[in-house]
Amino acid sequence: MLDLTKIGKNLKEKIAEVSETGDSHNTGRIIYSGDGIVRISGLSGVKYNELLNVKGGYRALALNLEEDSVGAVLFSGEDKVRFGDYVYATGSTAEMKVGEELLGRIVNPLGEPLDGLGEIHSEKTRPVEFPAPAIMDRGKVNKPLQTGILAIDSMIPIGRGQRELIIGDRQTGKTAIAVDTILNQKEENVICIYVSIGQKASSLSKTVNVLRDGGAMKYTCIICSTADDSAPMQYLAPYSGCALAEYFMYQGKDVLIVYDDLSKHAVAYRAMSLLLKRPAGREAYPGDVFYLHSRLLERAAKLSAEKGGGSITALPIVETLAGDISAYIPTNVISITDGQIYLESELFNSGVRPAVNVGLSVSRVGGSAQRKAVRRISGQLRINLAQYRELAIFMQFGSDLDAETQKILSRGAKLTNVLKQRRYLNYSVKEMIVLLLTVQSHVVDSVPEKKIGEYTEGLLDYFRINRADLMEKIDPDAEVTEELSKDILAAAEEYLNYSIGDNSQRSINDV
Amino acid sequence: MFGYSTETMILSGISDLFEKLNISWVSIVLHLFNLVVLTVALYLLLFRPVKKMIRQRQENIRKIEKDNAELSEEVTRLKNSTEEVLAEAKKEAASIHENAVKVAERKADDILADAKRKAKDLVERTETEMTQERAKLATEIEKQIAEVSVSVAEKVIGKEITAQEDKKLIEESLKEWSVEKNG
Amino acid sequence: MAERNLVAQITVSRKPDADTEKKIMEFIKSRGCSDAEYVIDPNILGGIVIQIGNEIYDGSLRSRLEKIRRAL
Repeated sequence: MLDLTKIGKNLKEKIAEVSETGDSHNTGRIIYSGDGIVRISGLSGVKYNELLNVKGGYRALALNLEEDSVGAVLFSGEDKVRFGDYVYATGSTAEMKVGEELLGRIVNPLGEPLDGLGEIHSEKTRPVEFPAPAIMDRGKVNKPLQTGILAIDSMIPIGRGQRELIIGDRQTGKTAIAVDTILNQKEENVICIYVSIGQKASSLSKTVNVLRDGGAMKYTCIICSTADDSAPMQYLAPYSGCALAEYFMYQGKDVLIVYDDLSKHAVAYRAMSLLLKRPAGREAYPGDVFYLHSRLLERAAKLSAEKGGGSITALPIVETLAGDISAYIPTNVISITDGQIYLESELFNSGVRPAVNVGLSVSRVGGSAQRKAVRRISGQLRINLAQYRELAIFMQFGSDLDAETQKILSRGAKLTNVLKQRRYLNYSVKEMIVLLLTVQSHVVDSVPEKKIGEYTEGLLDYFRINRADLMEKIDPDAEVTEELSKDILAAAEEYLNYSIGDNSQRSINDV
Repeated sequence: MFGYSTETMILSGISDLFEKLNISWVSIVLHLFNLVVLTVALYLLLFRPVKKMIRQRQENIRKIEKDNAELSEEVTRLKNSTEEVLAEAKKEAASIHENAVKVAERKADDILADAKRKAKDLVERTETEMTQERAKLATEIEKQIAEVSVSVAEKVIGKEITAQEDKKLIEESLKEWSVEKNG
Repeated sequence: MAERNLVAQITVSRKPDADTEKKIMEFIKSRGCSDAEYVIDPNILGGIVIQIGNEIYDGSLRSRLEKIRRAL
């Protein structure tokens, strides 16, 4: 089983590789160590954000450059480094391993594997901090990124190269939306990077399993820093992920990167800053916490055609407390991103899942990237829903309603129902078109409210299997013709007869 | 007596009878008249209405018969149409059934394919894990060997190195560093 | 700057002879040092370690072995 001669050969090769020369270093000595922070005297030539080697094989990141000392944060070995230990400057800033080899892997923010699948043999690295693409290098966001979630793709469309914030209280399905989106990129030729920042290892492993079972790991890399990783590791994770994303973007590929979540990132940075004795500001965050996220999210971009046309779509996640989106970090990130998907625990608990609050959610650039057919059909959707909500409030007063109002109410209720979607059940664009057309037509008027969920689910199966011809005719990039929409509605009505029964029964059911 | 014609004998007989019965011609005529009047009166008062009634009854019966015929016709028609509807319903049911079967089959296929893919993934993953485990073992051995050899080297070098060699080492290093600086 | 009066700290495994000492002095003078301070440390096994201010020149056998160990 084990090739012993090969081991000997490997050893000899490695010995031959070691240079015989003695080396000269820029060094310093540790004069303070505590809470994962070291102060180093000497190290006169060190740069900001430079990686340092501490004797014993530990690494640190130089963050405070002062007149007679350097403040650095340790990635590991907090309890191992001692006063007086030598610290060597490496001359390079923190770098992340990049390359195709990282797809399907779980790595830490320095590119070291965590999944027990062996070394990552990639020679290529990229600096973790990298300037965002210049203005002239950017192109227009014009291609949609399909999340497969009807409520989002129809009303809050996301384009490739956009930064769309997912915000909401804990337990509102923020990660679920991100994971669903990753799962939906199976046939979209989009590389996905999931950055976990300070998450529980248990929930992360759940996410990994979902991605693995869904066959999404082939095109996904997970950059992982769990809650028990040191603050600098958590601080570095999103930048490392972004470096990997940039590697693919500059090759002209489309990348989706999920930062889960940035509020924990801010907390890790706050811990570091306070320990480095930087002045604290609002909510004890340091003054540059805005810059912390803005420079990260600015790196998400759509490149112009001359630059290869690649893109990074960023889905940062921010957790709010008790729905307070006016707290410091949420307002910061909202102002940086191109829109937000706002999730509400109230909706979530009342069974509306995904719990997207359509009123507060926006997408500032995605509209132009939406597929033509969907854009046309979903144009009225938002207005219809708003109208329904308004009327629904009135209805609570229990006054008599005329037929027209009743129709709006019932259609609104059905629409809300159709927008509910189970986890891991993503719709394709064509399915969305069928659903949107049907639910906004007279066909749904004959479906009892309680049965709408059943009906739409069955409808899609019916179309997929029995009316594949119609599905083929739908072209998402062209407007749906009058004729085609008529055919679709006719088929929907046909299925209505199959599923709900004939008219007489229906009227009984209705009453 | 037998000289009389038979007729006169009969006539005389009748008149004898009349006489014997004390019946005169007049009363016979009167009786006849009476009979006529009675007959006429009965005809007018009794026979006509009865006849009319009978006619009406007959008509009624005819009408009922006609209705019956119509009804039975209707019934047969209805029966036919029911059969038609039934046939249609059966056809529809068949198509629904077919549709459902198709959907179910498709779903079953999907589930099967998914399960197969998952199983394949699992096997692949286990295989890579196994090779990795082996590689890990190899590196572990490598590490041990290296550790031992370096310790041996340390021990030996510390004792074996001569002043001459030390000098050479120092001078080599110095030269190298000077070059580094100048270059 | 303080560099003018820097004292180089030189660690060797045994006392070098006069010729070597001269060469060492030459080298540290080229780096702006005026004086040398010798430390004898058999632990470095052989070779020389010179520390001038923040710079460390490490030509000891110990560090070479250490390097090999790390590479393996």
